[in-house]
Amino acid sequence: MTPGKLEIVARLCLMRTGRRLDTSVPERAAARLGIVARREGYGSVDDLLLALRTSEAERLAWPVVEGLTAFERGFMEDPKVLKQVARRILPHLAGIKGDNPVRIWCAAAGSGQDPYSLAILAQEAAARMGGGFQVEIYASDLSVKGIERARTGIFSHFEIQKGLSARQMIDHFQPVEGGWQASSSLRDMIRWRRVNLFSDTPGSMRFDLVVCRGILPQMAAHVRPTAVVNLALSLAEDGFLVLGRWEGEGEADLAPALLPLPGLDGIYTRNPAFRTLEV
Amino acid sequence: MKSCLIADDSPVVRLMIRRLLEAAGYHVREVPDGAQALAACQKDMPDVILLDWRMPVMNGLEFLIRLRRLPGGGGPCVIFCSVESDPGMIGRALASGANEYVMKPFDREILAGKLSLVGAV
Repeated sequence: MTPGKLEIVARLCLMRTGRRLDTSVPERAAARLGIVARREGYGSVDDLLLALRTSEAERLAWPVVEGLTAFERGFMEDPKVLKQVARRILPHLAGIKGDNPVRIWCAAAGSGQDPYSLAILAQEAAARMGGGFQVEIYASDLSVKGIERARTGIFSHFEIQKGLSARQMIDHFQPVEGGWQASSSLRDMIRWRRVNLFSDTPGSMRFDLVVCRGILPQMAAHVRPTAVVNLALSLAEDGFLVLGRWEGEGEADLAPALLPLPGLDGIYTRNPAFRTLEV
Repeated sequence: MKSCLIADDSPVVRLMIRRLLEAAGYHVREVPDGAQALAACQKDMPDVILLDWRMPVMNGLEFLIRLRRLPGGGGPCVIFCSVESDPGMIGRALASGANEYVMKPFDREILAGKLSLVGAV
């Protein structure tokens, strides 16, 4: 793939999602575009890129962007951060929410491992606490196809073994054709919707916990502050934002809206000063 | 140096696991069945055991049950590596004393992840 062609699709990704395409391995972008080309009925990546310059451009732009920016995480990635969520944040939220559900937004759900991991942690936390607290998880991603797939809760033989313990696997998933499927109780906890963190403004719903891992570092420097503010505005007054470990370190972008929670890695609260500004 | 015993009747699987564990700094021994695994443990108890289920002479589950009854047999961290993927059988392995379970086929990332889960790397 020539640098010029790579530049065209990188610019498209930046314009639509605010994300910088990793152009260091052109072969990876070419392989992903090859999949999109086949799916859209083109004989080659070159044919697909040519069509992007025709009246087909608008129809093809999102499939191309989704194909290039799709990412996959394992289950329970960054276990130290998740342990803090399970042992400190969820019990705290359960205590202050009482009979109301704890609302969680998983803002970059990818292929689904992150929201299902959160659902498992919530069920395990509820079991440790003797039950009695409700959790609603709202999972979003840029990719419609990714959401459609993640909603099924089916993971391949290889995917299911990355990050989960064997005990978690057999307690929360059942073997089905094509892999392992999340239990209906896990699937029922999660609601799915498409959200573009770059362009979609926060809705009216406020969340007790927002989990957004792996996306901010991919965003271009000039759009990251907007994404951070949108995440902060989505938090309930006493809500928490979870970023990937080290994702917020040294980030001046976070400062106006968020404050790191002392003693916890990767977990932030809304800056009270920012709250005043919002009013 | 930590030690690992690989009990699997497939030389190919043993080689793949050996390479991963040696890269992680383990001293590795290999045996092709449960009976030889038991003898190896009685001689020198390893820190980690990678264990196939279906093996000649003595299968992995029988080995595991006997291992856990040996003096010091509660020590090794045992990870089953088996083609068995029935949740009931996986549950049986865990209830019998396995620390983790890997379904074959698997790749290096999966095995490394399981070793990390049990604190073996």
